[in-house]
Amino acid sequence: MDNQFQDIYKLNPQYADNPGNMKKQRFIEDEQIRFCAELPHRPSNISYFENIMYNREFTAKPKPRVGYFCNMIPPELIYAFGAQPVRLDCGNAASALIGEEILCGDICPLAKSSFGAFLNKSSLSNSCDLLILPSSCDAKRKMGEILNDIKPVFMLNLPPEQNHERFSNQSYHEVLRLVKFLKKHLKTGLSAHNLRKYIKLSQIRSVLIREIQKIRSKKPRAVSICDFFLIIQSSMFRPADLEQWIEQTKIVLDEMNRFEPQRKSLRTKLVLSGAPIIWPNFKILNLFEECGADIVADTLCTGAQSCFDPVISSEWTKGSILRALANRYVYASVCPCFISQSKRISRILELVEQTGAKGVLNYSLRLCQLFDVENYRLDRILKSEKIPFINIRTDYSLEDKEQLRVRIEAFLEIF
Amino acid sequence: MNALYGIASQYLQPFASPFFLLGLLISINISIKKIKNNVIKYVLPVTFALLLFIIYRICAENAQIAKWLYRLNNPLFAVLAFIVVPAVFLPKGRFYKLFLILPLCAIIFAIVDIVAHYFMAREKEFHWFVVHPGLLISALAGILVIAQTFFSLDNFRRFTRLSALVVLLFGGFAFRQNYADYKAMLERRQNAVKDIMVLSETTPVMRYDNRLAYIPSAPCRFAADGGYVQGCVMELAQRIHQVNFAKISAGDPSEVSVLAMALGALLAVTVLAYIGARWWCGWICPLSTIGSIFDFARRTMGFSYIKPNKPVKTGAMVSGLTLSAFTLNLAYLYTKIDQDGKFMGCRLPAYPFCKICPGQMVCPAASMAQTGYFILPGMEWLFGFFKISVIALTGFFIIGFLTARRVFCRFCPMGMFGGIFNRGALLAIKKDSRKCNSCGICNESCPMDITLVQKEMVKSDVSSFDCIYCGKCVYNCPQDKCLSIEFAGKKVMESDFEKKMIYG
Repeated sequence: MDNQFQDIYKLNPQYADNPGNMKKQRFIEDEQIRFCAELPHRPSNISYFENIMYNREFTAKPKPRVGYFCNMIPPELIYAFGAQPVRLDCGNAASALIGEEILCGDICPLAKSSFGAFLNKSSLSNSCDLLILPSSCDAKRKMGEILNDIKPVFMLNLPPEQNHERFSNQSYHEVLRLVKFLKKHLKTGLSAHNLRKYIKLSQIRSVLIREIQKIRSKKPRAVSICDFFLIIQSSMFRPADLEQWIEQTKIVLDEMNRFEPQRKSLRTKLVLSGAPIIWPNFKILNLFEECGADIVADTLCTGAQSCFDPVISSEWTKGSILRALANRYVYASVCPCFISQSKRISRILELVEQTGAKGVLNYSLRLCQLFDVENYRLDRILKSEKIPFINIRTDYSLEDKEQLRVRIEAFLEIF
Repeated sequence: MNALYGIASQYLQPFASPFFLLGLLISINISIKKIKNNVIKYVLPVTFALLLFIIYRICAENAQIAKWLYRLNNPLFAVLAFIVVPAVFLPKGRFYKLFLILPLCAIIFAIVDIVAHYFMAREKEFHWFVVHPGLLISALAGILVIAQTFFSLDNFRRFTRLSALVVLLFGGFAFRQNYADYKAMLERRQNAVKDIMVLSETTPVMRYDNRLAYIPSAPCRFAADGGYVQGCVMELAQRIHQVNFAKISAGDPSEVSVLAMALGALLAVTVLAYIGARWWCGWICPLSTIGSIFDFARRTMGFSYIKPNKPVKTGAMVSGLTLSAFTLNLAYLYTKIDQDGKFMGCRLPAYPFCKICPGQMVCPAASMAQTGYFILPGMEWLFGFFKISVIALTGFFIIGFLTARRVFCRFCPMGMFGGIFNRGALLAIKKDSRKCNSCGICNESCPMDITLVQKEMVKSDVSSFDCIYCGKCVYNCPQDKCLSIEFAGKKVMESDFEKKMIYG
């Protein structure tokens, strides 16, 4: 396969040993752990998900580990190669600070923070054998070459537009290229049987997530949004066993079904949209939890939306499955990196209708221009539909927490 | 039993008319779309049906009109009106269970009829079973309606296609008057005259009442024991082109009756196409069912399909139209041949399109009859046009179905006739674009490779010329209630991801 990056300009990998920053990273995580511990109505088996998420030891790995960014890389494919996919998007504010020192400062905190994780030798990101990045936004597109100094990197080219007629063959060939790359580096073949197995598992996962969201839209207190995000993210941001995860989530679902709220909930239901919220950066979720509002649905690529669309193959031949993977991960994505944003808007309107939410919250990450620009249309459309709308523009830092609280409280006064 | 059937067909005459079915469906369509009141919603179609019944009775008094009405009648319409339409439109509740007695009765009647026929037969040798055509078709519909409650959508379609294949290719066995008739058919098939002009030898013997029935897909008339229908739309078109108008103006009664029969059949088949459009291609067409066997072979071998690109798709359609236009002209020229059977020194067959149609190769081959190629004479017929075309098209058929799913159906002129009615007729595919996540599985699973369903984000009607209503996009759609198939204003099927996950 052809080389995406030229080796002649390859540099030695850089590491930054900064104990103070490491301490800060751990502190941010501990803060969030403490907040989560005090949440009401936690599922009885939440410790299973917590153990996965809070784990800081990544050296032992039974399978080769493949790290990927964004929700546009098919993890089923990586599973089928007998490897463990881990999503490496990072949400730690301190990690962003250390990444900022080496990368430029004016890119989005998600990229900085994810890059910062690579500077620490013992991090999860550095324990991966391979990296896969989509060419979704500018930061991701350029980060691939830098990360190629550390690990073999594959860049998956996305079409600029989600037009199936024109680009579906192109994205199918990109997935084929990815298969070649994985074959070369993992030194195993791809069997249709394995693919089928993991696609079935991920289909079950999306059914479970859909069920949970359906129950949450009726009784949001059955499980808090922080726990819901924790459950979802434990299945992709850490090396988790998907089958075990499904078993445990079924228990959560059972408990949610049995949950009966003691009194009528007066908390406002909201739909969350916008930039990814990644552990441990649950700042916005915490604030809404504290201010008395329930986020019942989301269109976040790290939230329920990430598992909402199942991989569906019309027939079980290998080519057809690979096409299905390209379809699901490229064409069903609500990422603003594609030309049209109409899908995200109609998804938000649909969720508002389905869940009976009273308002919409857009979380736009500072320095992510894509979400910022999309805000123009979203704002006006929601206004014309007479749905209260708040746009929160912030980054990973925890300093503006109290200012945001004031804004959120003022927003919730409407209801 | 014979007497009973006679009486029944006497009294059910009005219901076997295409006008009755058409009127019923249009009134249902209007009542579902326009009327909000629940009681009137059901009363209106029923009163309309009664009205049609009375009108038919009055018209049948006039001998001239009665002749025409009789020509159009077919038990198929009665079966559709009494078994299929209620199965589709009755709400699935207590009423529906009560209604299921009707298809059950149809099946029982057919069985009783077979037994009665068996005991009536003078020779007790085994000659398969014999049943009245109306009862056969109603029993088939009954089985399908009952089976529908057990199968998932995809499996139900498979079941329907297979049973339609059996009836359309081998159904002739059920129409034998007696064993002698059956033996005569076997004999005729043995010494099929090699001359291509004589068609009667390979046609089914049935003609129960000398009526022509067509359906708007490709049930080949050359299938050995095809019985229930006369053939496809192209056969009818050639028949109309072959009508000798010189003879008609001279007042030849046999030619006039040929024209009258063909026109009657055209009207009936147009009604069927208006009701089903290209649904007939996806659910009934035996040619595509045979093609799907190749498709099945590809799938089990683990090869992925090829998505044909635009030039191939357009090319298939254009060549289909050109070839059918050319051969229809040849059919017209057939009326101009001289005593030697030649037109301007060229020999012409009676049914030129059939001679190049892969259906004449595949359907008879499947039912163990004379296939077109082997009875085709050599190169002296129009410079080998027929010989070369039939090889090329059969090759296209097999390769098309082996590699690219239904790319052949883009060529098929029989399907294109149904395609005319795809938009604006009773069937439609609807999309709630707001629910769409544009994942493109509708395009991926579509055997015709239609991209419109994924692309359309504004309008709700996404049916297109090529759609065969196989329902695969609806079945595979992961967004609940996003895609649906509407028949006469009622949602017949709807995408439901969780249901699909549970029932396979």
